[in-house]
Amino acid sequence: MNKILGILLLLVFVCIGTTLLTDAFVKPFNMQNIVRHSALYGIIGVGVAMVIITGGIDLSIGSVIGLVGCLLPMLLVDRGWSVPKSLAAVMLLSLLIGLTHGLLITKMRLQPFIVTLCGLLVYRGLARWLTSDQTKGFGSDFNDSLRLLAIGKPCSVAFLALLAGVGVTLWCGWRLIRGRSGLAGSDEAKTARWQLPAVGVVLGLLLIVIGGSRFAMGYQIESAGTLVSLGPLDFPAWTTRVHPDAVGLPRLWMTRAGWLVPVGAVWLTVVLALRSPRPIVFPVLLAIAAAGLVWAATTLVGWPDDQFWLGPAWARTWRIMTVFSSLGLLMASLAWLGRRAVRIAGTAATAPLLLTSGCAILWLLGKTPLGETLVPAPLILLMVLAFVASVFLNQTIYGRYLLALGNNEEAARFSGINTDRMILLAYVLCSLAAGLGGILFALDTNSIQPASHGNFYELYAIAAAVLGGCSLRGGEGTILGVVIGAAVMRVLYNSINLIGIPSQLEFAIIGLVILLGVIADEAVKRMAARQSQSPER
Amino acid sequence: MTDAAETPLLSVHRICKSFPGVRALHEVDLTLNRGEVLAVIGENGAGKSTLMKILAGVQLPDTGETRIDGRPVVIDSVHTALDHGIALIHQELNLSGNLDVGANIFLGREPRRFGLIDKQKIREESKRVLSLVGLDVSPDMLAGSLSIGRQQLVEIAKALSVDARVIIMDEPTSSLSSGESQRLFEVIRDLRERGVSIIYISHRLGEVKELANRVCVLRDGENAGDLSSHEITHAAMVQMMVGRDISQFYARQSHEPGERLLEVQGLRTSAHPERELSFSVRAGEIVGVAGLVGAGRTEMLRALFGVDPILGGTVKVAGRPISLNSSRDAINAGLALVPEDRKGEGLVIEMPVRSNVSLASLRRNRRLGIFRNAVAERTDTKLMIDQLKIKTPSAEQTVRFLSGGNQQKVVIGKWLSMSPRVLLLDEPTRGIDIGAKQEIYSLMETLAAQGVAVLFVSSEMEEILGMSDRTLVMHEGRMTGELTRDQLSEEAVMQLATGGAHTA
Repeated sequence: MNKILGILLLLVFVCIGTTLLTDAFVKPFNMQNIVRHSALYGIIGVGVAMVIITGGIDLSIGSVIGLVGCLLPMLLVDRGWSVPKSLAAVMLLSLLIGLTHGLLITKMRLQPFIVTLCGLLVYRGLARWLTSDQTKGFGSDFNDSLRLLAIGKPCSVAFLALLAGVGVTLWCGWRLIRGRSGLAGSDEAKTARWQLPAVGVVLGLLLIVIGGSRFAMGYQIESAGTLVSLGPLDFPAWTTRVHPDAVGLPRLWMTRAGWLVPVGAVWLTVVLALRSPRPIVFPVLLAIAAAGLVWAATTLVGWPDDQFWLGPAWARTWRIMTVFSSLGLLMASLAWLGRRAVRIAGTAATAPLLLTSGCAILWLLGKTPLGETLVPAPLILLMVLAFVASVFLNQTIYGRYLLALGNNEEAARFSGINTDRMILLAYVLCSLAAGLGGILFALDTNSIQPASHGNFYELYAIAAAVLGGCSLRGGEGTILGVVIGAAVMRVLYNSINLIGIPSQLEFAIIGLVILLGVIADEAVKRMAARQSQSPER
Repeated sequence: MTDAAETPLLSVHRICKSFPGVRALHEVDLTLNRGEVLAVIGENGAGKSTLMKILAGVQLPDTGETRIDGRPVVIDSVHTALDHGIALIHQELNLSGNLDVGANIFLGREPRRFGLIDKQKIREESKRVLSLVGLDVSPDMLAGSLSIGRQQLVEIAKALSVDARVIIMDEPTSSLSSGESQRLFEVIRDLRERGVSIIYISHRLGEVKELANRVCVLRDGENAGDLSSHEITHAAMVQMMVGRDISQFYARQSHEPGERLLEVQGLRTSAHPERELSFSVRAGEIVGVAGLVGAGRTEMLRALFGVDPILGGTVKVAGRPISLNSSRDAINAGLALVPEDRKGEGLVIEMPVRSNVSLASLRRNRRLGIFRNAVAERTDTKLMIDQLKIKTPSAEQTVRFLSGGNQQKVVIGKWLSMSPRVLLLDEPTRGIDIGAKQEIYSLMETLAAQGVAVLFVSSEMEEILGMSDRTLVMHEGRMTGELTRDQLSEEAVMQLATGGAHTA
């Protein structure tokens, strides 16, 4: 949980910083691109997370994406196969690839690194040979059908907000009703039982109003064509149309959500004042000072280039440095404040903190055109996949087996778990995710270079998983973390391009950020280990 | 006699060494004269290995004094030990199989010429020391291609090449054939003639009798006495190694044994493929398996639990033959194993108590084929924490932060929640404190009273004597005897465990 919070803060940090530096970031077009790409990388990240959790690795993902990307247009266009048949064929191929990896690793006891490295070379070579290195594509025949799977925009963010609002309200409402029935136990437990769900209900209702306001004012979903036809069944592809009047309303309500920020802040202040106010004085002052610095930095962004110290050549560097460092200070002080508050007041502080931060985020988002942004289709696919993967990992016995054997394969074996079969399953799932990613990446680009399509994607996926809290030693990892990790990678990439850092530095910066993230994680882990004094060792 | 002969070559005085929770050595004295073979014997855990590691500079003593040639010295590293002429040959050989014999002999102190390794000198010097141990192999041969016995001799040659005056051998014959052992003994006698002193550690009392000039016996980390050459007899050594009372620690009641729950016929394991094991355990019976380390006891349990392959023989549970291809087969038949290596095989140390307790029963409690039953998981864990008195702040505590005894209870809890019919325990109380020990004993007793067949392996004599209704003794992969409660004595067990015949 802490890990997810950390990576989420990193994502928010980069997003806000980039927004402060350039207006282009939150433009609907840009946001849609980032989300689409994040979702595509998220899909392969979720796959590789399964393997990393067992303590293994899959380096062949990029080449599987390349091979699938070449095969799909070949089957669909050159051979004229039907859509379902072609999709089934490439997914079957990915399944066989995963099965081969798993069998070589479990039965032949080969090292995952070697097996999948060989896979990386073999599948890339096959793709180039099959296509004779010719660029492949779908032409324009599939623009209104299959390609919508990758480039379609079936609904708007407002619609997702509405759905999320309904979900959060129902879940927290149920918790609230069930929690109030028994009010025994400590004050802490009581607070946790009604305050947190109550705040959840408030935020959920806000989301419903924000999303619904857009929906009520001429928000339209209509069929944009046939996605896939399976015999008599047609699966239509939806698209959305925005009524011009509907744009302002969600924004209005998001601004109104800001009214609750002072309510939460006062509540929090009262709670802390009743306990012990002194420890939070310093973080509060620091946060105020940092907020002032951020405000100063944003005015700096508007200055003409020639007014900067060291001259116009350094203007960009100055803007970036001041914005990111002051924002970093602000977020660090806020995080510090939050931690202090929770440590002093426990759950009594969590509820007002949640209300304040939730409403503040809604208010900030109201300043952007995010409410009107459309949702790319891959995000929907990723959400479904991530949900299924989360349930698999946390709610099924097999998910627990994977985590257990990733931590200690021997102990799992001694507990009657067929570890070989579980490892095999992980590799199959990973390759299937790579196959699905391969289909989507191919449909997205529509121009597949056999020699380079998908190059390094396995490393992006692995980086996303590691950023998201998977340990390469195995036994650790959450799906939500991996999805956020993938988003961080794409946002960073986008940010580097937008704020004018030379794109040659792209890899260097992404690499450094991942490295810093992992170092920070390790440092926090060591601190935690030192604090919880273990009786042994 | 000259003066030099009277001062011992090496002596230690009042050496103490403690590890967290364990007192390994307490005021131990040891003297070694020139040109003698001193055998150090004792039960497992008596402190032999610790004492040797201190002599060889691998570990530092907490207190105590070491003298060489009568002068006090501090041996604070393997390097200092070698400078003083003390070399330790580990039980597990430390040769690099991928390097040649000469390179192994000079590993870490290669002679150089013009900054490069002087291969010529290595070859000549290696030939000289190899001939000292009577080993006729070329220094250019790969060490890994030699037999274990020959590798042992290369280790000795390596010790001689640094002009070692004291060579410590830790169970050198444990993996040698009898022919190879005889060859080693000749070399040892030859070295003794040359004035090299040998400290010889062995469990095999026959060898000790054959080789040693003097025997030093350790017991529970203290000196139990010395035997000079004419006093060395099998009986005297056993007497000195055990010889203590067993406290009233084990609340045993005898139960009327029920049906034969576990029957093993002609079991052959991969550790000792040529030996066949046959025995049975009845319901309500606690059967101890005694023997020295390496007697094949752990391997037997692993095979019974389906973790290691079974090469032959049949295993019946409650009269029905079972096939043991995996631990799941064993679990389905009602077997449970508390393994020897708690952290390596028993627990997922980074997971909470709840996940560990439920790991084996997840499958049985699953819903709709694949879903985890979180309710059963919580109630089972709570039940086990209460029943076994596991001291943990909550069921969500990571197992790493529990004490050894409580960790062991978590492992036991995992199996109790499966209600096993046959419980196999491998060194169930190793490394845990006395209170938890007693709780585990009374738990074994309770389970037996409920009709569970309990089979436990232990290297602690007290435990075997105190807990078992019947004791099976193993030696080098075979059952050397079975002792009923009235036949059971420390001497009888040691006799069988060291390969002697049972004379009761």
